Amino acid sequence: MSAADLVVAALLLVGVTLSLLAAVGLNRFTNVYSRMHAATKPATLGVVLVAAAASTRMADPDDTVKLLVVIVLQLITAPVGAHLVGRAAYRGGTPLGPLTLDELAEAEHRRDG
Amino acid sequence: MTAVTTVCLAVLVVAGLLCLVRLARPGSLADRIVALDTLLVVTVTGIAVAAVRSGSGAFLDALLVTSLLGFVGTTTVARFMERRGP
Amino acid sequence: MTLRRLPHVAWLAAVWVALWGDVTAGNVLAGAAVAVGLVSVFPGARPGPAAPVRPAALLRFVGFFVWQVIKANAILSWEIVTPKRHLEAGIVKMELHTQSDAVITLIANAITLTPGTLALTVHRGGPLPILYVHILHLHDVESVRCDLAQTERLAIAAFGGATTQQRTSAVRR
Repeated sequence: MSAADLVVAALLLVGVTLSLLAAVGLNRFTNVYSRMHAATKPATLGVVLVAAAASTRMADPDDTVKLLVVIVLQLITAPVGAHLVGRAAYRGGTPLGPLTLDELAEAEHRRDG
Repeated sequence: MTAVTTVCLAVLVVAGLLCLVRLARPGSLADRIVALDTLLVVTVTGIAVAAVRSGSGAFLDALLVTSLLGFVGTTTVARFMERRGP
Repeated sequence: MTLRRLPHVAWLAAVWVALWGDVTAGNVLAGAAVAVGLVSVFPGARPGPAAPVRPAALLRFVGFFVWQVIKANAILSWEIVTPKRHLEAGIVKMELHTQSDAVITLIANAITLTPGTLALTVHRGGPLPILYVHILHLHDVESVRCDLAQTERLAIAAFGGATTQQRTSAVRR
């Protein structure tokens, strides 16, 4: 395998390891919000790495462009999705779990009372 | 490269199974939607690895559609969840 | 459809052409037509005053952001793999020194994309918009606040307008 192949192989392995860690973290963490952190972020970055590695291996330049579009799409949409789920969980009243610092609660109390 | 992609696909299958485990475990709606979103992202990763393995980009359109559907689904359920609660 | 929407139309047309693959005249024209149609039917938010993007500041922002992402992923991976400890989560508040929706969105996205921080909600009632960030592991509050402030400062330096710059540097002093 040439050097370029090694780089691509390494990127692929790191990307899928991130996806695996995301799935493991989804099961291990005890709090809803921690699970959200663990599942959304590494999985997205894993996809970006794998797509970047794959884009260099495509014979057709059309496919390379499509993979780059997917990378940009994931980088833009994944944080928005994660934020919306987090905000919906907070507003819906999902219990936060033990917090060492909660400045949002103070702000909410000040607004109510 | 084929060996590497085989290992990658095996790892992704394990990741997908773990997401399904999370989906089946008792939990709130937020847990379930995050598990589904992660499952879709793992699927997208799998399609990209399969493209490297086969060398052809025949199913890259499926990759685009899957990632878009994942986003739209997550956003919709999040809006629904705000009203309904966990 | 005003001329202000031209960047939106150009971006949509570029995505259309990228999805089709070939840059032919037909593709570009079709993309432009579809983009104009979409922007007319779904106008979206009114675009604010256009601020020039500074390339050097943009590079600094991207570099810092990529470094944060790599570092935070390593930390998160370690926390997932090591046996369960008590995670000290928390919500910190961040005052943002910009009123532009686009820059706030960019900052919130950058914060959410780095593992360990999640932009929870934005309160726009007071003089400055306040962003509340949920942190996964608050082992050192000041360093987390420092990183968040650095992200905000670099984003505003890259994308904010001139008056925002002056306000930011005045506050820092």
